[in-house]
Amino acid sequence: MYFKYDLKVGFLRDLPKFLIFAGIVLVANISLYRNAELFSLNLGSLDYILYLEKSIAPFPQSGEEFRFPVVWYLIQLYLTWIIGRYPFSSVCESVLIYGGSRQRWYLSKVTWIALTVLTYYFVMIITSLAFCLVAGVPISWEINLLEHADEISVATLLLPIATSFVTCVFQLFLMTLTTPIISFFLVAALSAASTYITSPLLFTNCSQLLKLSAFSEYGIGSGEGYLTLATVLLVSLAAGLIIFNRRDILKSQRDEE
Amino acid sequence: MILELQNVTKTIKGVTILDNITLTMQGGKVYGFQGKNGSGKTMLMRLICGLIKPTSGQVIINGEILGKDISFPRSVGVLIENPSFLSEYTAFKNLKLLSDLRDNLSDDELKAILSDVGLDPVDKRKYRNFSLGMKQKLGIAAAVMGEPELVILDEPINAVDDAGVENIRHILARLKENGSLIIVACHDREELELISDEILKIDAGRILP
Repeated sequence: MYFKYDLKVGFLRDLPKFLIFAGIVLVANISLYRNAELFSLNLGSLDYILYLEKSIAPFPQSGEEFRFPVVWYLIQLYLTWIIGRYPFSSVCESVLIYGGSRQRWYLSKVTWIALTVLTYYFVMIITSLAFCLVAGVPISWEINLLEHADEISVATLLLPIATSFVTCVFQLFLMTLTTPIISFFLVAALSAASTYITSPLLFTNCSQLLKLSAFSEYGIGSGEGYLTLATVLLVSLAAGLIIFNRRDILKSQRDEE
Repeated sequence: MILELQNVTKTIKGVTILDNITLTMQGGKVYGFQGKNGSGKTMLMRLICGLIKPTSGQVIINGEILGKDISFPRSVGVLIENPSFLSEYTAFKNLKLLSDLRDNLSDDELKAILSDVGLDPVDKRKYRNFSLGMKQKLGIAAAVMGEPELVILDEPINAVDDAGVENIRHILARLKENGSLIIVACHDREELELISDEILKIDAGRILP
């Protein structure tokens, strides 16, 4: 029953936020299009999608100068902001009590996160494809923008989506410990740190394509990435459920909305 | 409906908010909680509806231990402190959303509840444009919809006009007749005495004899 509420209040009511995100994606697409024209790059639609997730190669191992990946970071930050706003604003007494169970409330938020993350990436892909169609960029599944291993598995390409989901569940867990705003800044700091340091322990590395072994010899393997994500997911879920189950609700959080 | 509090103590940051409270309440009665600000009334209500956990002791509702067997009372309506609803929705839409969580009441039933508390069921105004009294009435409507077995109302007549207070009295009388256990905290001593079957005085987290 909580999920029906989350679907109506946390998702459908918040659909305009995805339009803003589509705008961010469009600006990034235009930026890549101009660069492609300037440097005569022959890019296809998949390049436009991967451009949003590529970030930078492992630093300093790659030998390249550190340049903060603004596009990747902005995309992660906006998702973190969307996730941070809703869950605990719905801890109004009546909603929590009428649903009947703290565990179900928490699991419903995890389901809401999954739906939000999938929609987020769907909007990213659809916007990029629409841009490519309008701009006359060929719709192709070839990767020309990034140097890569001969074959890129679907699992590798799905790793950024899985990472975003796990990061958001981790953020929800942080919200049970602190406040939504502090959790937002903690996840933002984690994402910023992972642009500079390459390690599977900083699991947000796994949503940066250039930090994966398929795209960089110093990168993290997909298997290693999924293993780390599974561990973080399980720990965040278990700890979040236990802490929320014990947490005192001292005032309606919606008043702070 | 039998509600038992057994040696309930709640301590927050070293301060004892509720001190060894033992109490039994039963359905078909209105219990009025009287006490000054900070006496522990609101905390006791939050504890009874499962929002906060006792540091020691337990709350048992119809034989089930709160926080162990159940997260929240199975059939409860609450209005604690200021009601909080979605600001861009109408009264009806807010009520419908809450009802979908548990009762799945029909549109007609929801409209009847809004009328009962003195709100216009077809009012298109959004919650953010409501007066304080209208917000309070909507809070009452949300607490009593579906005629729950346990009704917890903290300062229900705050900002409510005389006609609204009369409506609330009628609703509480009907719920009581149907066997609900009603807990009310109210600053207005006269009003509390008028609607309650039993008055419980609370001071410094203790129920006074």
